[in-house]
Amino acid sequence: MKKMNRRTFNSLMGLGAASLLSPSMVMAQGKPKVVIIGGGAGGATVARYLAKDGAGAIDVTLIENSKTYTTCFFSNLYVGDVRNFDSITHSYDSLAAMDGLSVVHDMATGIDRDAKTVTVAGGAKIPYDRLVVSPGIDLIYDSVPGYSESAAEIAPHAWQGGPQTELLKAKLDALENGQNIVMVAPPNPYRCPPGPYERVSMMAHTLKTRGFTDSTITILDTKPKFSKQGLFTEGWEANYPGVVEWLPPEIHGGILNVDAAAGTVETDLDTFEGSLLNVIPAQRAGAIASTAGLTNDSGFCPIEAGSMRSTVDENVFVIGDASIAGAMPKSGFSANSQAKVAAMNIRGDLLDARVFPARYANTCWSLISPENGVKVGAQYEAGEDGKIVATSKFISQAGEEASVRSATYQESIGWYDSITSDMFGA
Amino acid sequence: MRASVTTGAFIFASVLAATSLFIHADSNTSVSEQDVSKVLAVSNDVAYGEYLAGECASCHATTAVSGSNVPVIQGASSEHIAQALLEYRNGIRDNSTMRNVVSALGDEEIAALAHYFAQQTK
Repeated sequence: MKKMNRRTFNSLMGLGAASLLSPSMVMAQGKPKVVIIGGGAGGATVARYLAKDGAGAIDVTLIENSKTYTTCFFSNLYVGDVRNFDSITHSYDSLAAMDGLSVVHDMATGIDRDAKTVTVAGGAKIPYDRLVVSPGIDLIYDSVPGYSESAAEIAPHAWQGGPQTELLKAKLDALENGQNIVMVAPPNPYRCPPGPYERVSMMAHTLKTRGFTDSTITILDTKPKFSKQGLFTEGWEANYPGVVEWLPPEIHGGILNVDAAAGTVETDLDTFEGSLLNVIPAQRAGAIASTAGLTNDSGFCPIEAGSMRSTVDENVFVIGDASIAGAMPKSGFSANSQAKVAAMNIRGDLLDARVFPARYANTCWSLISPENGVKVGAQYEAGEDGKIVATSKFISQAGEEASVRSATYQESIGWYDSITSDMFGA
Repeated sequence: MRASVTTGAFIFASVLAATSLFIHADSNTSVSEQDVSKVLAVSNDVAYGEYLAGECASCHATTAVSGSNVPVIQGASSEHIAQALLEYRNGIRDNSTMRNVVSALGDEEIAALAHYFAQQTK
């Protein structure tokens, strides 16, 4: 009976007929309600764990505008022809089939923290007892002079998975030998610290595969150093000699203007021309977080280190890229890890379930060339200063044997399937 | 001043007490059956193991993944799980990701995880 009503509800939602009076909302009265905004690595995981571990005792609603989710992680492998697009794109069907879990494909447009409701673009107000905000990042387009949302249709950022990823790939595939690539790399903090440099590696691999010996990749960085720098630099010299040039701000002197249509990036040093411009601007928490007053001056959301609970509102948890998670990088792995701590604390709040001390983990794998993987990772806990701190770390070493690098890559393959199953249940 | 000395002494004593709970095999020596059973007896808190296992699920799939070298651990015996984790702790197994994971696990956590995974069907 319950299942019938939930299905009815889902089909109504599919027709855009969301309403507070829908059957499942009425049925669910009395059960505690959790609403989750954002169906990425953070939001999908917390939805699945609440449904799984709550065993139907919590009415969980996941609000996600997209019908499918293309992961940012491993999207560089698609750019490098190592994975296909389907393999990094996932549906919400398995989540939607879980007892106690409804997936609402709509855009969350507002949060009323006093009334404890979330408004979606379709007009419905969805009530919550606890809210999880996991909107990922928004791009600050004008952090790069001359860049804009419309310019991104010509010079893709591809820093949010989906159409932008495909656009970057199409532009790369359209290059001819002798045509160059220019990347503008973002300032900290941003999603996936090694990501821009893995992307450069995969684009260089594509050029190499096609025999484009006259094409180069220039990285105009907005910061003086970057994640796994020694490993990437070594890898570029070994695999793509003369192809990749990395220029920090002290060399290029600052980015003055991007002209997407002309394919130029003007700096103090010089004007760089690229048939493919990949401009990755500065980032902040997804807009819904600031609209709801959950961000601070940094543009991201402060949280309690032991629970991922917002320091602004005890009924709200913020996880993933939108949160200020201390020493943890903004990554899918971090978001997935934070989601489990948040889910446990929400069950503690609403069901009086046991709450254990928070533990977090992250590993970022990057592919330099096929079968040549490197990784960096750490374990984390809530530190005494109220921030999430690392308790131990590791990183791949320069000069590792090919067998070690291959094993690291194989590990990342297992991780990708596992984390996406952990998120989407399929 | 006096207070800080006392606190320092207390922390030192606590560290000693905590470390004495761990099995400290010499580096690169084998983990014996006795080591494993001693650790497994420390805790049977499956609920704690279930929470801890959330971290494992990020990388260990429940069925084999083509091209992956990450083993399926769901349904492995408690002895197997405990043995493997103790071998990461003492350096017999050298995967850097797993050695990092194990650095955050005491005997109680290893026991809880081992008992939890043994309960899961393959």
